[in-house]
Amino acid sequence: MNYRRIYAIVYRELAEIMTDWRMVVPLLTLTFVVPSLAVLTVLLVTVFLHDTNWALSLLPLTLLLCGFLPAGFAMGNASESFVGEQERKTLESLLSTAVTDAEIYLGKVTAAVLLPLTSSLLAIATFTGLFVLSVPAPLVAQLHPAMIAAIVLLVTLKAIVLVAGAVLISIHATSVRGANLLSAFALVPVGAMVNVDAYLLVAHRLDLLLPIAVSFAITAVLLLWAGLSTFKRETVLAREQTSVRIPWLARPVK
Amino acid sequence: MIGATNLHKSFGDFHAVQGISFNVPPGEVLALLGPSGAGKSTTIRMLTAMLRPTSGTATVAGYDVIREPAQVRAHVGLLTEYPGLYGRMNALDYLIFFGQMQGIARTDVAVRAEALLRRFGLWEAHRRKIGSYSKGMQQKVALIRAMLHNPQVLFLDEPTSGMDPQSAQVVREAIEDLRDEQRVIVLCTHDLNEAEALADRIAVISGGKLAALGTAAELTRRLLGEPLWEIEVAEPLPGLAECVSACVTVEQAVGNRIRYRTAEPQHLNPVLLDRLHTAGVSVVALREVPRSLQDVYMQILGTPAAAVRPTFRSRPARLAMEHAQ
Repeated sequence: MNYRRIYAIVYRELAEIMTDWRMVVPLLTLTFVVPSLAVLTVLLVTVFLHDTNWALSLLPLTLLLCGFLPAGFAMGNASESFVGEQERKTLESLLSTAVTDAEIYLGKVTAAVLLPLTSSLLAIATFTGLFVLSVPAPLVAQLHPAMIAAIVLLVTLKAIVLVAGAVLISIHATSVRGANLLSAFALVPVGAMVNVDAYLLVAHRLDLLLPIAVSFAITAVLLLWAGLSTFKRETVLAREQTSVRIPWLARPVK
Repeated sequence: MIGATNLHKSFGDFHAVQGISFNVPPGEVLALLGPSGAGKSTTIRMLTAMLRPTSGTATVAGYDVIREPAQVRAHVGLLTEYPGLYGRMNALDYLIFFGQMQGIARTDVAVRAEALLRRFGLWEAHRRKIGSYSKGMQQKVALIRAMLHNPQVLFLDEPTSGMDPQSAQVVREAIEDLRDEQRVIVLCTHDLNEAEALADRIAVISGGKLAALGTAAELTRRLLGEPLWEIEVAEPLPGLAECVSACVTVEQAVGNRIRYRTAEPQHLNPVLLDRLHTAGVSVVALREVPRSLQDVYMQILGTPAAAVRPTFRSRPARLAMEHAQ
């Protein structure tokens, strides 16, 4: 394993994204503007409506959403990491070099994970920082370090699951459109789990969050392993020659 | 340098390559010709260790494509059918990235990339994003990418595609330089003139099989017969064919021209000219009828070119000939 090559792939991928304003503007918005607006909403509710209970009950969900939204958005980028290059005809030149399949996969998946993770953690930090600086002290006391740690852990695991899943889809998809559709479909159950996490946080059932975190960790490892073991030059290039045969798909059903 | 033996590649029920075998020694340019979908790209992908052969073996630059694929890829350069460049990167950064992918240290690859960018006239634009380059410039960057790690074997798919004549000439000269350095070049092209000009040997792939392999002269002789010669006389003579029939078998006699075949023109043509001179016939020209690689190619693919095709003439000459006939 040549780590310099992996680093070069990660650097190139990140540079590619960070020079595209169509990616940068929404990411910056989700990272800094949305958490700021969330804090503003909490302020408006508590200061002007004097309803601290409502604000406190929504605090975990708001914080989870602030962390989850950038990860969800960046998943679109992950889902086109392989199939997008294949459509743009840039993948073959990369596959013709001495770089190994594992190095290509690890480079791409690391870049795909780093971006949403950094963005998500920055969004959580933005929300927390602004919350501490702007809302009254009694309310700040409700923002427990344990809750923040749990949210960071849950958001991190969800981001890895989403990205690893999206990259796996990208390896096996035949078009960017198909990859995006499949990835969006995977977003639904993970998004639903955000609600479950928020409910358990409000109910102070951190004990139940642990198995959820473990299950996400196992899913993340399985998806990463599946990507690592199924990404092969042969598979990617051979796909150009093969097509889906409906009768073959229906054979097990008969 | 390249040795392929009975290579097969199947994708499910589709047999893309069926038993291709050939050898390419150092310092040779082999042109790989064939219609689209014939199996050229699949053959190249197997020889560059990107696809594993279903059966058969191949060694490239001394490495086995099945057992040592990473070594093969480190010692070959591939110019893909599409340049496949990262449009947001500038040329220098792009080449440094690919040099690193080939395992070259960043500082070394930067020096080599600069030298190649200067050689191909791109150094002035090396800080510009590749996406803003013309098609020809992009093709040059892709070619530099293939040459960057100093490979012993190069596979070039349409290397002069989209280039202006001057740039194409630079690329052709680069290919000739590489041949002089005893490297192996496999040239995949649809430009038959380019293949004829650059290649030492020509391989034609059709339907996944090697339909023909040899030098242009060998293939021409094998498929189109002995060289065809043409005598043009000053005025149309009804008995011209009979006049020379004692020496040669006339293949065609039209107006003031006759055509015949011979493998020994150095012996036959002086005798023929003597005979015509003795008969009082004024010979305007004696020439070999050029037979292009296209005629050979069409013959191989089962679309025979016209057996005898009039040689190219300027419009006034053509009109004069038609008038005479």
